[in-house]
Amino acid sequence: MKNKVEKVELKGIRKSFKGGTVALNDINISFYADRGIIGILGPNGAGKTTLLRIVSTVLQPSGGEILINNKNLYEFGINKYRRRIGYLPQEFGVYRDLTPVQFLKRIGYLYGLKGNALENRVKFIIQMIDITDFMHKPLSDCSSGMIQRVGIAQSILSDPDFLILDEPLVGLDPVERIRIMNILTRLSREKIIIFSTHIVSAIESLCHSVIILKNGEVLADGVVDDLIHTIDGKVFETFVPDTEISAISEGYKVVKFRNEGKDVRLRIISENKTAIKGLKSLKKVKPTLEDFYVWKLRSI
Amino acid sequence: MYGNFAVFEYFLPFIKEKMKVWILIGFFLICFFYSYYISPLGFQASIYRIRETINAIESINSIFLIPVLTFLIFYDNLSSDEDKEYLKSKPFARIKIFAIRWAAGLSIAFAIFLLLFFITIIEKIVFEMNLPEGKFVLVSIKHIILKPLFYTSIFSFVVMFLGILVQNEFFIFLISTGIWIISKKNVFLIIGAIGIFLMAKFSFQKMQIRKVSSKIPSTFVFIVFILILVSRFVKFLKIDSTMLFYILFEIVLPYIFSFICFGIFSIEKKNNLLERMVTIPGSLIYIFKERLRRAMVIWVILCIASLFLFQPIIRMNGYHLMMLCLTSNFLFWSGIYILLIGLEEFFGVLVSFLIFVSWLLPRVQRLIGNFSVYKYLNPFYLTYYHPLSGYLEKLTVGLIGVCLYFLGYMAIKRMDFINLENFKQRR
Repeated sequence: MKNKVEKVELKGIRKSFKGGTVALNDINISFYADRGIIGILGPNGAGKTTLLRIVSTVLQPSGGEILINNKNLYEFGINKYRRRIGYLPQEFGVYRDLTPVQFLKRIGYLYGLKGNALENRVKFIIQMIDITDFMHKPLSDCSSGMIQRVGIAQSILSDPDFLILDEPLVGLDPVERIRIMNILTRLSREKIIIFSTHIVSAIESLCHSVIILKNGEVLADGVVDDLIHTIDGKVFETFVPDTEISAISEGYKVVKFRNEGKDVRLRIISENKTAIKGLKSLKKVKPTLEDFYVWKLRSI
Repeated sequence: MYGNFAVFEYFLPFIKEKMKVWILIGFFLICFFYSYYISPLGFQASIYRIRETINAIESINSIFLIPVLTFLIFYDNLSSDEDKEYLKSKPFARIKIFAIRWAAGLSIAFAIFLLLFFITIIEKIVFEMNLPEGKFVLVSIKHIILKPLFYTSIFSFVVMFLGILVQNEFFIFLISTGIWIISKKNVFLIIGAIGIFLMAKFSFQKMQIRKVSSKIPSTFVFIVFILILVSRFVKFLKIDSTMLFYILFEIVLPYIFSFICFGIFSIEKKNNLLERMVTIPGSLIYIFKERLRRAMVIWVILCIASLFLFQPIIRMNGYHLMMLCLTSNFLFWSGIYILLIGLEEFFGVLVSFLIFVSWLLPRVQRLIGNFSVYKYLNPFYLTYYHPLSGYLEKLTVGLIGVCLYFLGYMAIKRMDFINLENFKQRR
C-alpha cells in the first residue's frame, strides 16, 4: 500500500524542556517490520515516554529529524502518518461515563468510520481484544486491567501499521499481563509495535529487539538474543554467607541475590572468572536480558 | 525543618497551581466589577463620600465578592480527583495539608483584598485629583481587607466541605451561595461554620468521601441559577434601569454566558484524553465544533430566558439594543476563551494583559479626553452614555469577537503538537 508506514527513523533527535532539562540527546534509532516487537527499556527518567511521545507526534522534538519511509515527517504528511499509527499513552484516560463499546465508537467516529463500517470494526476489535464480558459496563466501574485492554483496543481501532504503547503492562496482575502480551504477539504479525516497560522479563519473552535508554541516550539497541550473547560466560552464581553481602556488593557487579537457607545465592557479572577473587564455588550460568540490562546500566 | 518542607512542598506549588489563566481572568473581573461599583459610575456615586463608599463596599462584599471569591479559591482545595489518591497515601499529613491549603487560599484572598484596597485608593485619587484623607484609608482597610478576610476565613470551611461532598462544582457554588445568603452577617454563620469545619476535618481525616453526582449539565444549572438570582436582586438595587441594563447586558450576562464556551476541551483535559486525541487527525477540530454547537444552543435558550426574566429593564431600553449588546459582548468574551485554547501560554498572558488595558483606558481617557478610534475597539465602552449612537461601537466589538473565533479556530487547526507542560496535573 502506498501510504503504509514501513519504516520510522529518528535521526539526531533531541528534546529539552523549560528549565534546561535534556530528556533526549542525539537519538538515532529506526523501527521497521523486520525488527518484530521492539521494547524500550530504561530506568525512571531515562526518556522513554518522551521518546514515544515524539514518535507518536504528541511532542515536537527540539532538534533532529523524523523520517517516515525515508521521507521527512512533514514531507510524508503529519496527518497521513497519524492516520497510520495507533497510540496508547502512559496516562491513558477514557470518558468515564461511557461503556467500552460507546468509547470505541467515539474514537472510531473521530477516525472517520461511520455506519456499518464502524459497527463491524468495533465488534471485531471487541472480540479480538476479548472485552466482550464488560463491553456494556461503564468505564468508571472497570478495573485498571479492563481499561488497559480498552486502551489497546482503541489504539488498533483504525488498523494502524505502527503501534506505540507506553507502559501497557503497568499495574496489571500476572494473568492480565500475560493476556495483553498474547494480544501483542498476535498483533505483531502484521504491525510494527514498540512499547516501553520496566518489566525486563516481559521484554525478554515478548520482544525481538530492545532499545535501552539511560539519561536520554541510547545505551544499547539490537536483537534481544544478540545482546544477551555479548555477556555469555560473564555471569556467575555462588553462595556466600549473609555477613559478606555488603562487601561483595561494593566490589562486584551483583545482579541479584536471594536468601537460600543460611546462605545467600549471588548472581555476579564479571569480565572473567579470575577477576572475581575470594569467592569460591563460582558457577557459570546462562545470561538473561536482566543481566545485560544491569551490566549496561552499571557500565557507565 | 518541617515548616520549610511544608512551604516548598505544599504551600508554594498550591498557590502556583491556583493561578490558572481562567481563574486569573475571574480575579480580574472581580477587580473590574469592584472598581466599577464603587466608582462614581456605580453605586450611588460612592467614591466621593466615605459613608457611600462603605455602603457600596458592604453591598458588593455581601452579594458578590465574598461568595464568588471564596468559591473560586476554595472549591477544589481538598477534593480534586487527581488529588484523592495522593491524599490517601498521606494519612498522617492530611490535617497539615488541610491547614496549609486553607492558609494558602486565605493568603490569595488577602492578596486580592489588598489589590482591591489599592484600586479603591487609586480610584479616589483619579476621580478627586487629591490624596484621600486618613479616615478614608482606615475605613477602607477595615471594610475592604479585614472584614472580608474574616468572613472568607470562616465561609471557606463551608465551601471546602461542600467540595468534599458534592461532585459538581456548580452545585457547590449554588449551595454555598445559598448558605451565604441565608446566613450572612449572622452569628449562626460563625457557629454553623465551626460545626462544618469540624465535620470537614473529620471527613477529610477519614477520607470518607461519598460524592453526590449529577447528570444535569452543570453549566446550564449554574447559569440559570445566576440569572434567577440576578433577576431577583435587580429590583432591590437603587440604580436606574439604563445603568442596570449596561451592567447586566454588556458585562455580567455576556461574561457569564461566555463561560459556556470556556470548557471546550475540559472533559478531555480532565480525563487525560488530550494526548490521545491530538494523534487522531482532525479530532480536536471535531470536538471544538461539536462543543461550540452545543454552547450556542444553550446560549440561545438562556437569551430567551433572560428576555422573560429582565422584562422591565428591556422594555425601557429596547429589545434590539439588548440583543446587540448581549451578542457582541458575548462574542468578544467567548472569542477570547476560544483564542486562549489554541494559544501558547505567553500569548494567553499577552491577551489577558490587553484586556486589562482595555479596562484601564476608559478611566484614563476620562482624564485625557476621548480618543475616538479607541471606543470602537473597547468592549467596555460605555453605551450607557450613548444609548442611541452605540450601535457602531457594539457592531465593531462583535466583529472583533468573530475574528477572535476565527483566529482561535485557525490556531487549533494548526496545532500540530500540544504543549503538555500546560496540562500538568496536581500531584
